[in-house]
Amino acid sequence: MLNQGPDLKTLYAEQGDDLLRFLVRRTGDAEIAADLWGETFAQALASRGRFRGNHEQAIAWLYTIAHRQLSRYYRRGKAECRAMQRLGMERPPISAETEAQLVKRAGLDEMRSAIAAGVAMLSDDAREAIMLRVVEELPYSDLASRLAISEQAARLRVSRGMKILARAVDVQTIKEAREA
Amino acid sequence: MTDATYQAEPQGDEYERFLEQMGAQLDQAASRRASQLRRRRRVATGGIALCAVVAGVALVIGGSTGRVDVVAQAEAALAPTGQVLRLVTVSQLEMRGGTHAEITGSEAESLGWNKPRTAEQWSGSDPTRWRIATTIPTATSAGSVAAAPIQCAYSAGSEETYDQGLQTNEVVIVPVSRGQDESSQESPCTTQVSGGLGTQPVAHIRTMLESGALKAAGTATVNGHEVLRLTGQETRPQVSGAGPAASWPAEYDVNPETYAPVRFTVEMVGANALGNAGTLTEVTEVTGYEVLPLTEATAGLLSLRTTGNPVIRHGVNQYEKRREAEAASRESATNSATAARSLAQRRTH
Repeated sequence: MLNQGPDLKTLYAEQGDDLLRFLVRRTGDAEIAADLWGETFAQALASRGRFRGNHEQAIAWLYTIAHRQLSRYYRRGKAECRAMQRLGMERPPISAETEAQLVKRAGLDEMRSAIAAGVAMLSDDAREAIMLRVVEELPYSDLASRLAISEQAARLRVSRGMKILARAVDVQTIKEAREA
Repeated sequence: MTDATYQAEPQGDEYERFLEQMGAQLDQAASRRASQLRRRRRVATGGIALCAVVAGVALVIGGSTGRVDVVAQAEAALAPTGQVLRLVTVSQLEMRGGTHAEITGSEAESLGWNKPRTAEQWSGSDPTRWRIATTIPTATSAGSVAAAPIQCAYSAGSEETYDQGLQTNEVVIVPVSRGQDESSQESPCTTQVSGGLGTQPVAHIRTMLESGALKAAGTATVNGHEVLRLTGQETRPQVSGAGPAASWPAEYDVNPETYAPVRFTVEMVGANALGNAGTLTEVTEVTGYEVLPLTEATAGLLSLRTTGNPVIRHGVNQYEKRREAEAASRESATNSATAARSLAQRRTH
């Protein structure tokens, strides 16, 4: 059963909820996060024979798998479920109520509000630069010509704007505020 | 994952149910996987493990199936859970491309380099355990050299060596450090009881398959029988001291019908062969190969067999020791460079 290699049973009981919320915060989408979450545990199950380490290292190993899933998702724009399919696993569907609870537990609404507040704090120039770079994914050369500034100035504008947003979206602060 | 063991944090019913459902999925998948492995074991013949390897290589080359699936299949077959793999090998060293096939010189003779060495090993996985029993040339109290039995075993992160050729009746336990795979050539036992193949040849094939280092190279004839040949390059850290990793051509021959391992050949390019010309090559014939069910009796085969009441002694991991020495050497070099710079600056001023 699950008692070979890292103790997945314990890992799931301890980390399942945290990992799912972690993925929700990084994807902003409960469905996608749940796919990545299921795939992470499926891959952990499939490769646990290769893992060597203690419980703390097993947690780090699990999050490494999750980060890899996230990277793939960011690159390809879709969550893969190959390990789940191979193992005959089917991720349970997320009901509206589950999604609402998950969004709440992940602090997603607070994060969205914080992002909105952060964006509102930006100057018009910085907001436009960030929209072009982050939302429309323009390369810096195109962004520079669109804004009629040098590429270096475009990079600087985006960088400054992102710093302001990062300060506004302090997830840890949100989490602590929510749990207080 | 059973309800009895999974304790979710108190939260909304729906969400809790969702977590429990996923836990159940994971538990069922684990059970199915274990059952598949058990079924496979029941029908397994001695050669089924390498069958998956060869099939895997074919699939990788053919590209018709995802590589992950192939690796997973090969892995499952080569690291059979709940089984004990028994392998009997006879290894012989030779000089390829040299003036003599044998290794010449008195040292080679005293070290017994030209004598075939028989080794018997048992291995199991999940958790990984193995034992090797062989003989190595050992100096006697009379000054002569005789073959003396030696055993090595691995389990739970430690290797145990029982050298019966020594005048002491003791078992030396050495921890295998993190990052040092127990099946790798860096394991402390390897240099004593195993040559080019390492302590776990079958697991080693699996590793090579995973890394894409093995390729199917058609058929060949070995001892009058046709075999399938897999070839690749073995890359491994230098066993003695620091230096660039060695890359050695390797051949793995398997029975074309049963896929049982037949012969392994490793050309240890660049290895010190006591001044002999040519490439030191280890040819290992597999004379016994079987997959045994894991029982109380066969599990005992994975542990050292000792006589009397040997003293237990804890030894030093040479791999770790070498790494520490290298780190100390680097630090010393850095300190020397810093001192030299300081001196040069003082002189300039």
